[in-house]
Amino acid sequence: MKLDNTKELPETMAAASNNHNEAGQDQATMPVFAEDPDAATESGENQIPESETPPSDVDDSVNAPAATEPAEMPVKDDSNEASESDKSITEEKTEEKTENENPADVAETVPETQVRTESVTTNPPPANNQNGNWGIVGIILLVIAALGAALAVIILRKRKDEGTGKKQKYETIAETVVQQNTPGLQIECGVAQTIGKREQQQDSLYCSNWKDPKALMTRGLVAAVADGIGGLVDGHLASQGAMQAIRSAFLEGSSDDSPSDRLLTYAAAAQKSVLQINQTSNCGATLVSVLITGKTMQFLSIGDSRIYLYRAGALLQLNREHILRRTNEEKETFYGTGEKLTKKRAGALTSYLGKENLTLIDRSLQPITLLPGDRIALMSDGVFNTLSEREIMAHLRRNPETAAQEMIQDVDVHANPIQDNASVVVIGIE
Amino acid sequence: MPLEISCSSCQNTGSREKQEDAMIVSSEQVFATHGFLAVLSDGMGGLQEGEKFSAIATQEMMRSFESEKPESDMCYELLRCYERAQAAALALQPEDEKDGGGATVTAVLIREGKCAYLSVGDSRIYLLRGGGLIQLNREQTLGVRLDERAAMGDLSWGQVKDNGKRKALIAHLGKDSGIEPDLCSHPQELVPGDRIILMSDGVFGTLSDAELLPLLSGDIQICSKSVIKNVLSRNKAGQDNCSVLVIELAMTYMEKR
Repeated sequence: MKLDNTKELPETMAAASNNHNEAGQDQATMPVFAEDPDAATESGENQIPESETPPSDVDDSVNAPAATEPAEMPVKDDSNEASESDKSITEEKTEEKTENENPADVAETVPETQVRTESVTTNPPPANNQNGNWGIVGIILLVIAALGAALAVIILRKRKDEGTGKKQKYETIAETVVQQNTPGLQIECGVAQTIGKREQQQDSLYCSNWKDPKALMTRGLVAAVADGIGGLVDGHLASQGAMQAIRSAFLEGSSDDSPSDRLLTYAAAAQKSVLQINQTSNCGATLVSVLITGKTMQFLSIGDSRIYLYRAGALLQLNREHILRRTNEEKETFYGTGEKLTKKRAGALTSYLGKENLTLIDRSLQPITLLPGDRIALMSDGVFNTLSEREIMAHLRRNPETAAQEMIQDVDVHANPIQDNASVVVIGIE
Repeated sequence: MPLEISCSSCQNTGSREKQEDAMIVSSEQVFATHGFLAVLSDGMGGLQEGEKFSAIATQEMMRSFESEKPESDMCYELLRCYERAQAAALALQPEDEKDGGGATVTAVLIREGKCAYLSVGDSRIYLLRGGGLIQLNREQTLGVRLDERAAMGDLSWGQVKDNGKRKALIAHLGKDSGIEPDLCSHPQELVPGDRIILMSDGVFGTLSDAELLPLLSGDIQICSKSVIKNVLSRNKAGQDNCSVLVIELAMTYMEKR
């Protein structure tokens, strides 16, 4: 029963994120409120926060293609796997783009010719790229482009009999495709979450579109997890507000500033958003976020969620936790009376989004150079309080998508009777 | 009993008149019972001499480490050692604290295949793992805080980026700043081949991470020397004292646990 739920979960989330893909070319996952994944209302609910997002640019124009998507999918004979459906969307979105005047963060400058070739060849299924490997996608795209161009050339010749001009265009296509497949790093991401034994999903997570090489090269990749603070009633509002603020700040903000300052700006936007929600509510959230630009990564953390770097067979926690344990306040107790704080008190947050006068921010000061094989995992405490570091590490050896999904399944398998909401974003570097 | 951690260190006064950096590693005798502690400290002069404070940092921390009972929580243990040194440093300060000196502190404690680290001020702790460098500690400088204030909207970006005191320390040994030492949240698992590097700003102020990486990846016995040689070869005007301490986890140590 439990297992079933979790198995379905990623799909539900993928559904939610598909909408996002259509909308903003990135994957933002809102919490899943109902446990029954095929409840139609659920995906509706998931979309609600989305439609509220300020970036008006896209949402409307995009919903139409979203509706047509499922109809076209079966042709591709795919197995509902998130990556596959995502991928086909990424391919198709290029063709929608020209018709719909799509958002800034798509590869806007792709020449029209390429768009045409892609639309010609939507039928060949992207056979073996389940894992979203860009290399394979690249090859397939090249083949597709070549086939498509050839087709186009044949058709056009039949029509107009002017071969020379077209030939030139054919070459530009090939160039563009090659160029698009040489980003700084090959990045793959996976996301998953479970509600655990709680009544409400108060975690939210966000991962920008890693499948668009151009966006990766210009804006980079941002990923974040926010854990709505449990004791406070509207924790889910806080974490959702924070993620939406980061998403808008990432998509609309300047990418000229240093990555370190950009992450600070995103955190500030999240803080502002939670403070705003707090005018009519009482809530807070933790935040862990990373920004990958080129071959380097910076991170930022507020609260007690975690960012791990898995490298060379070992796990390293990158961030510090903002909890009372080992602070001056606790030390006085520890050294003064020899008594330790109760476990609960020691775990009390000393910093979180929504706190007035937020001053404790933990962040990398030097960019971390990423290496092939690196895995970065952002997670809420629902994951690492249930799974040991060894268990987390074992999952991180898999590809990012499997890693995220199986990690969350594993959390549910542990059947902790008071299992907290658990969320994870896994980023893989190749 | 053979030492299962190898380390090497090297330092130079640069173009300064005296050496105010200090380094220390724990003795082989306490390894079995206490583990391994390394401390690097960069002294800063006021009226007092900076070397006094870096000496206090290294010696007092080591004394606390070797003479007191190990704590079950390695992070607590580092804090305890630091507080002993801080108490001694504060006692050394003149009444008017303004004229006193101080020192940065970086410390790494290794025990049972795990490491914990603590940092005050602007020296650095790096982890070299799988061919890549990762800075483990956070420098406690004014610029870091100013950027955060600017992002939160309390100050303007122009104001903070032009501030001439961005590199000023907001915390150091010998000052009761109320700012807590930067401390890892949990001891971190180490794997064979990991290297942990402590260094003063005389090193990373002259060599970039990219320049340091190949130097630090070389043979453990000579890599610290080659780092300092390379720093000096730059002939940087006003080269600060530079010190580097490299610790490597030998295979035998890891296999034993």
